[in-house]
Amino acid sequence: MVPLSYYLILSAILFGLGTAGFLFKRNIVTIFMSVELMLNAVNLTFVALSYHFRQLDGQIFVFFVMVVAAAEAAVGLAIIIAVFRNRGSLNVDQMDLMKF
Amino acid sequence: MPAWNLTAILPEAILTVVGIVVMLLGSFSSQNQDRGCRTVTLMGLAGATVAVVAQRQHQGAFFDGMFLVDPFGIFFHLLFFLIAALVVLSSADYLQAEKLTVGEFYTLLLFGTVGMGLMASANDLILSFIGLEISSLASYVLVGFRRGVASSSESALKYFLLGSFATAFFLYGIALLFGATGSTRLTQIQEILRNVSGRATAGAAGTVLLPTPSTLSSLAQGPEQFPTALLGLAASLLFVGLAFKVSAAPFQVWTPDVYQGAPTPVTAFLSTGPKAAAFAVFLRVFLVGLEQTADQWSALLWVSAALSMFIGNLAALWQSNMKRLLAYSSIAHAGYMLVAFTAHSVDGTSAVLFYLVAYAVMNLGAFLVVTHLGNRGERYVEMDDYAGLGYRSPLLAACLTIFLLSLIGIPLTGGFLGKFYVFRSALQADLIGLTILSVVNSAIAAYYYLRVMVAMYMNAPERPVPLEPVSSSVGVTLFICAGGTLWLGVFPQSILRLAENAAQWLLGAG
Repeated sequence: MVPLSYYLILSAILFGLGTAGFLFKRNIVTIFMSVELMLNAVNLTFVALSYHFRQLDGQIFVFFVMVVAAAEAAVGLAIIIAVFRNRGSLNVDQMDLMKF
Repeated sequence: MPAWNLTAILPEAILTVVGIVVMLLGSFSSQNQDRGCRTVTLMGLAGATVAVVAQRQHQGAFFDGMFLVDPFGIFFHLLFFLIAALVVLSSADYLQAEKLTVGEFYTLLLFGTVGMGLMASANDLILSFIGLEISSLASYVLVGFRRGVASSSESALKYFLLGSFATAFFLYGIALLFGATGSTRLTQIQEILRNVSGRATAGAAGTVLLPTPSTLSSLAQGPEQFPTALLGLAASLLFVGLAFKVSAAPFQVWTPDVYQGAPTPVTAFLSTGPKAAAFAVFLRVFLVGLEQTADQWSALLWVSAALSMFIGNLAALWQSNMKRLLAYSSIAHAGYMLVAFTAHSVDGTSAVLFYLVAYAVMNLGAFLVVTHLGNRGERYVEMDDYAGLGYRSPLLAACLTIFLLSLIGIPLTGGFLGKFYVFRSALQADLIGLTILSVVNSAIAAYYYLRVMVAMYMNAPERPVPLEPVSSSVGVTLFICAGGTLWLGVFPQSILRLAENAAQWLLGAG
């Protein structure tokens, strides 16, 4: 059997990759995908822990996270489209209308 | 008390149904049906308020302990409904002038309020998370509600990306907390941690990564079985997620941009409603769930409180845009509330609750004046546009003066007593350094609020700024906000008693 720590380390790495992508990527859609990667890393943690504890709470949590991620994608893509229509660009460096 | 009792979520149920009705009403009726939508929304909020008041007789834990009906939750529910009602009342003119779809706006506002209500009452982190997301998703859309305006959709984008980033941290924190304790129920986590620290003898830190099923059942034969490091990591991740939502430093970067680009009534809503809801979760998670680790997280809060106050106040000094100025001031006010939170006492918690109410009325009022003066397309939101307002519209200027004085913390206003309770609780908890910092900050803050007043009463206008007559709904809301601010400053007892009751319940019975 694969030990629990392997799963936890894998999901920590995935979460880290998502964070790095969020911070360093410049395309809005890629950034959004990085957030999704982070959420899925958390899902992996939940499933692994849930299996380890022999209880279902964690797996139920995963369903809720998936639903929320889907809702978030719907809202997020709508916002991204609105931005693209207004600005004609999907580069975060150009999102600088408000400066102090 | 039955575990399944739908009356526990009656307020949320009412608001959800009313929200759907308003959505249908908005899409099936012709353009000039705003009044109908508004009436239904307000009636829904009134119905939900009645339901909450009736719930006071039926307190307890529902849905297998997931949802709590307690004084703390009831306090927040009433606050949310007040905020939502004031925003609905005050946004009517704005929506009409900007030609925005009324039905959708009110629906999103109601759904956001449902999410906030769930956050305030959640005893399970699953429910906290879902409530947080419901209210956040509604806010993302509301921020980008002026679809054709580039700055509005840009701030929606920033809010959305950073918001979901923070949510991911919050979620990872929940997962690790689940890993450390084997539960997502806050009261259970509290119990487990109490047992662990109860058995903790001289410095045996955990070397075991996770509890095994056998240790879980008879929780931790010894403290050496307990994954302390994991718990610390979980607490810090939860802190990151929640600090973002209350716009506390160092996670405040999004606030000015989002507050500036959002439609002004939405900014008013964001700076009061979702912020208060995030504080509710913050308080529940850290004062109930992670109560035993207070020594560790109070240091985090200390730093965050001090940073928020300084960053907010110092950056606000240089602002010329009113919405941006109020955004920075909102960061600073989150800092004051964190000061009371750091005190970790009944007094501190009740000070946070009282401050939230006082902040809600004064800030909603200030933003309402900004909305009204902004005129069509929010053209007049610079501080120069406020020059001479004291002569052109003495009443509006007087109202804004009340709100600004309250934000400074001048006696006879709600803001003063809010700050007073915050400082008192911090002193009682021996946080002398932090109290000094917050007093210094109040003095810094006075400068930029006074600058607006100087502009209103002492400067001559540089360019003609048209002034619409104040409609009845705006007038009523202004009156409620100004009256509420003064009332809280002169007769704080009733609200304070509610806040103390809620705080006692949270820290005592929890």
